[in-house]
Amino acid sequence: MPNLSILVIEDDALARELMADELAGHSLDFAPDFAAAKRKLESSRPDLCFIDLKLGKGDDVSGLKLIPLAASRGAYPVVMSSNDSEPFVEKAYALGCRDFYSKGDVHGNVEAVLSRYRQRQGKGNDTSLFEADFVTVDPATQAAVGEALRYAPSDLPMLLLGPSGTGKTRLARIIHDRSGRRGQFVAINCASYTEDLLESELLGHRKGTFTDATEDRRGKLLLADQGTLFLDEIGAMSVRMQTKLLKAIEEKCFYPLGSEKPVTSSFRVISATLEPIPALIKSGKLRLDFFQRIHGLTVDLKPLSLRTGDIPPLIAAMTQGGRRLSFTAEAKELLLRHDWPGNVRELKKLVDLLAAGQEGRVTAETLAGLLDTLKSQEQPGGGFATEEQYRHALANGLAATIERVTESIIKRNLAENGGVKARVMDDLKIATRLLYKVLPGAAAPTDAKVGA
Amino acid sequence: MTAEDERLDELIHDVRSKCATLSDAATTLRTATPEKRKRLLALMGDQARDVEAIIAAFDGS
Repeated sequence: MPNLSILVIEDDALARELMADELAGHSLDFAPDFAAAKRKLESSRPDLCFIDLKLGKGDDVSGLKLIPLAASRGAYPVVMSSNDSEPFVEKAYALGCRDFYSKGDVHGNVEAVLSRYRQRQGKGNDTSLFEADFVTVDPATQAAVGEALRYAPSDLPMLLLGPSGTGKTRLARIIHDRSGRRGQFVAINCASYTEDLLESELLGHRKGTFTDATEDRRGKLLLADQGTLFLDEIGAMSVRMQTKLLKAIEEKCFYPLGSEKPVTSSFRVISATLEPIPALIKSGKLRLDFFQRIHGLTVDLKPLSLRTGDIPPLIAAMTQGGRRLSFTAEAKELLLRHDWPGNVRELKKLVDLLAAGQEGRVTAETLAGLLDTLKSQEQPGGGFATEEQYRHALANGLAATIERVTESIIKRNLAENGGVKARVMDDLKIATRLLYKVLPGAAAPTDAKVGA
Repeated sequence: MTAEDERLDELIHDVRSKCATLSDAATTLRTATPEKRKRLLALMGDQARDVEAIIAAFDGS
């Protein structure tokens, strides 16, 4: 096991001596009382923190107060105490303790704790994380994701930054899955709702509160109790809603719309935005106090164009268990040269289109056509037409543009089918007449059968 | 819970905790170097005196 950074909070000198023996080889630090422990936790980030609950004669189990602090610093809090009655154990776990053992058999207990920690870390940093869950070979992205997962078991709020399609929602879900929280992962895109609807979605409402409120409805805040609330596109949330949400997060309590009875809910907040935070604050779209409450740890995800090394493993992961694709050298070059404005989401759409296409071997020509199609979908209004087609229609009329697009699609499909016209008519569900109208050089068949 | 109950709970905790550590330390003596053994025995002596003081304080109060 690699050298770990471990803080042992223990008032008993003999126990400290024994812990030093058991943990030899790791980077060890000791705190004999509450004040020293607090100071050390606030100024360092140990991997593990062993905490005795009663720190000194007459002490009122002050070690309990150190558990959430240790967890918030990213440590794996372990309680070692003779205060091992059920209420103490329950309280310690509720506060964020990951492991609890009763004093005695220090050798066996420390060995078991390290083993469990190793297993847990193994799960957290196993190769499947970057090969399947969040595919990346980019060292900076791996470090950012790894840092976020280090705090997965804590209550620390997180703010995920990055352009659309970089995997913010996926990362939020992974953090939740590895948090040990027993509640649900509840996601909401703040940009998808009007102010009133967002308020209702988050807080819930009582029947009859407004015209469409035909029944009581639980809000996302309550659904996320003991779980994680993922707020995507946080910059789209109104300042008034931010104020309400801030209060709900701080007090773990809120009023559903139309209700006079408060509801309690304890959830971890992960937020995301693709907009630059300083600009959001400066423009007054994001309240500073709200931002301070939600940005415990900031994780910046790079756009795909800055980590093109991820493209081949992402394609491999996306086609796992399905049709595998092979790219010509020119197509590979095009993949790396493309600017990927839609990031991983755009790549996924491309791979889906390719996998559903005629050829498993992808040429640069096929790829360029599909990338154009995807690019057009990114146009304002989510249009099906490309900018070029739109301009062509303005200049030449819609009919001329449709004719040109039709010709382009038919010719491409003909090329992909090796010139077999029957397959083109089948693929595109078109009549012989249209095919030969588009391909005037080709002789029309004399019978109903159309071959190559 | 009465004050007496609380004092007794504290006594039980302290004696259990310190004796558990004493027992662990005694086990460690088997493989300790002479220098380590000396340090452990000194600490064990202190620990035993602590236990005695805790019991005396409970008895005398």
